Amino acid sequence: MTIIGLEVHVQLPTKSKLFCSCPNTASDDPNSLVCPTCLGLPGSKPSVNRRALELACIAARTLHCRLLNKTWFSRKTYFYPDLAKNFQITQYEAPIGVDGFLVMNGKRIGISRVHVEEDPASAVHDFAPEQEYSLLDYNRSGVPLIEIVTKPDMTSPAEARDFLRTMLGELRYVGVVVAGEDLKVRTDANISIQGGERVEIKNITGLRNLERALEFEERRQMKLLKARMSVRRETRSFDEEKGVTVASREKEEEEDYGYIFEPDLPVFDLRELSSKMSFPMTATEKSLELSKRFGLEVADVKSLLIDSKELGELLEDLSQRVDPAKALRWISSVIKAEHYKHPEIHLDSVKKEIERVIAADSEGRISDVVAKNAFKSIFETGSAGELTELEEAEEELVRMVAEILDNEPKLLEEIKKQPKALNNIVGRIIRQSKGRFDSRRVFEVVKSEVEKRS
Amino acid sequence: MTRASISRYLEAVRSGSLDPREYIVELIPRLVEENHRLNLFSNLVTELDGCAEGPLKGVPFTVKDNICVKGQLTRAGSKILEGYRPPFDATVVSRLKAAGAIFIGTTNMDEFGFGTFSTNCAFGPPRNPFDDSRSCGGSSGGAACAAAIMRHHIAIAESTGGSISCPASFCGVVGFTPTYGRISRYGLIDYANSLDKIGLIGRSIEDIAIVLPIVAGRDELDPTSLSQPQLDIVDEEIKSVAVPKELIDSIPDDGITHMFWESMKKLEELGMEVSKVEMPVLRFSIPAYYILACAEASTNLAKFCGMRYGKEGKDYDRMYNDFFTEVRTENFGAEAKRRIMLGTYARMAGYRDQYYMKALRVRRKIIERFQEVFKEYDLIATPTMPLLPPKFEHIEQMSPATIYSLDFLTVPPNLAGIPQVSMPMGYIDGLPVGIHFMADHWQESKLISIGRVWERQIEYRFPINLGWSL
Repeated sequence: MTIIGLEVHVQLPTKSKLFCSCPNTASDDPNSLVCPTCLGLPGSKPSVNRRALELACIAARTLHCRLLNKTWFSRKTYFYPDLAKNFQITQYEAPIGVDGFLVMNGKRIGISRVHVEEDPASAVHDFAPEQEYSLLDYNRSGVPLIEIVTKPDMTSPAEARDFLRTMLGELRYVGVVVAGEDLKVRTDANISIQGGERVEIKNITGLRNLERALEFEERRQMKLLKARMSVRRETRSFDEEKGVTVASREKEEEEDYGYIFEPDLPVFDLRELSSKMSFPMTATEKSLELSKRFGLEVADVKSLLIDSKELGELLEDLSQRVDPAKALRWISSVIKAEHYKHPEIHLDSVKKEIERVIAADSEGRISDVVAKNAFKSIFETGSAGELTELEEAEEELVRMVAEILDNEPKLLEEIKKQPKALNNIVGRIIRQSKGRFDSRRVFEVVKSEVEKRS
Repeated sequence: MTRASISRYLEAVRSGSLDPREYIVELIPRLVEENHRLNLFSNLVTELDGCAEGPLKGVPFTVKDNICVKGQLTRAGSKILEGYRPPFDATVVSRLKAAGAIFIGTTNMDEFGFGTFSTNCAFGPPRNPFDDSRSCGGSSGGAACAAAIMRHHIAIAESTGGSISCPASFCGVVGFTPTYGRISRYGLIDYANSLDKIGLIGRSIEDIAIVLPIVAGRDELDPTSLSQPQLDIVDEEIKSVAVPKELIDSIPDDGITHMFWESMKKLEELGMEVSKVEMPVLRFSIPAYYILACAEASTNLAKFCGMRYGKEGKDYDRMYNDFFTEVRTENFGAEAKRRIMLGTYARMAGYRDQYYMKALRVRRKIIERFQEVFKEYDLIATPTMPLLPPKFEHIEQMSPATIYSLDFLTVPPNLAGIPQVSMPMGYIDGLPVGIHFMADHWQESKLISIGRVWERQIEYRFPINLGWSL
């Protein structure tokens, strides 16, 4: 049996960094968003960005954690070139929240703690392949992170990935995480197999790599145990290119960080801070509300909300005027895909057109194929165009089929002898109509028209 | 009158009878000359900044070498910061500049504040102006020396465990350490952040009373300064003074003890009630202080690794651990290394509860005991140091543990974060002896009040008087 626990690091979308007023934005210009504090210059002092604490409170509450009454920061001291002060300001004894959970596919994954800390600078290793040294970019130094530590409640690499995707979705819904984090999220994963020691894989980037790293590590440990060899307790890292985990050069035992209280920062009264905040509704709460209100499956609504809050808002809005089940079905499929394909199109600007198409479908006036093409057209041109209504389309289809059969008696004879040749006409009609008709429907019409002529 | 306050200097500047820039331009060569013998300056300006219109227009000030002055060499007494010029002013410096004061130089100190005699300065120890074979005290030795030799000047100093009071006592000047958090630490190169306090050294309590309100006050750049109440300096009647039995009874020098009790008699004659009080918990001050101070220092000093600023490592082909180890081995002094090791040990897993966490609890107990005493008494008083300024040759023979133990009078109030002032109490064999007054948190006004009373009882002596007599 495989046991997996995660430590997840996500950047908080604040305007400025955690301990200084430098902007928290990406820049192509290295070391351009820095000041004495995030460079760790002697004499500089940290000041806490309250918004980061608020966002961390929202994250903790979303993950059903208990918020601590008082919280403070600690110094974790270790020497590493990307760490401006050679210590990281993080939280040790008093994190923001503890003892939470996240329900995923009916299973409860425990959350041990949520705490705030500063991101180190980023080391650039591959700026020129022939160089043997690294460059440092301090733009990232001091960016606020939350670290979320789970209980060892996951039992497969796929489940770990699913958990992380779901959790990021929940956090994205409440505004603690921004889009794109699925690719950037940094995770340390602990994995063990019954009979072996626990192995930690450090600093895995993104969702897909998490699953790949865990799959490799699970296989590696299983092979060792099968061969009656022992799995050592160690720290490994994941080589993305080769898809393998490799033993880190660091010492085997846990590093001793010699935590002390951060003496430059005061104790924060979280009870007071959180009492003044308004907490947004979570995706779980919202999906319960919407499902009750519109008679939809909770799980379906939730998976939509976790994917995109905007699409959730579209669903809520449209469900008041069109069939909610149809709205959910289209938004979760074609509209979602088109929305990702065209991130530049604001949903508000095409909402009216989407509504018109779903309304036509709700009234049974158009086919699925027509609806699908209409949505595509909305995202490409801004308009659904003329909706070919069902009866009208049916008449046109019958007319097209009849025309071919009447004009090409040879073809008709062939079909009578060899029914497979029927596909020939189906293909021609789909091509001519540029995919406006559903292929199964075309097949049926051709068949019935041939029968009429036998 | 040697006790001329900077207020007279300010009047002369305001009336136009004195051009401060001319005054300072003439003063600096004298300081350079004196520095050859006393080695009090780490850096003297070669060019003067303009001076702003403000309440301190034209007043020259020096800063301890661990407080950042934009563009000026700031090395905290350490070789590892060789060549470092901060790109920003400490808040205390920017407030002084905005008030019109003129920066003239940085003063020598024990490396990062680690010492009692300023002998741990990488650039040589400052020498006592009363006897240059003796120590100025530490760690703000250069600052106290500057106040002792120069008129109309204010020295910005810093105390972690007594680094203002000790040198003020040894150099016969007034050293004022405000409550922890009263003056912003933004721009102070940290020794132990939960103990570090920026303060002032001058020639009279009036000079302190003029400058303190200008540099004190909330500063968004130092969150620990934000909870302070308003500073109001008013003359308060001091009714009672407590003398902790455990401190006064541990002083080996009878001359100092005798002078102290004579001073207490004077206070009684002035109508104050003087009582001995028991504060047994103060016995644990020295171990608790050194554990906390070193634990914090060992993290603060981690940043000095031969990258980004100060001394740079040269050998980029080595692994990072070897790279920074070499720079630190070569450029930290012995006392800095000792405190890094002590502090790292005290916070390591397995020892952390026994040392670091326990020391935090001891500090809490000490603060509580001080607060109890201040419920009954306005002030606490002791001699500042248990010995006269020692000769350098004697210091060389002292073990680190002996030197640490000499801080037993100044460490308790520093550990508690309460304000203190050391003032000249008298002279023994021509050497100054200091008296130490302590008040409850944020009660700086009481210290200024007792200072004014005290200065009417004694004539200060200054061995050197640079600058015009006004």
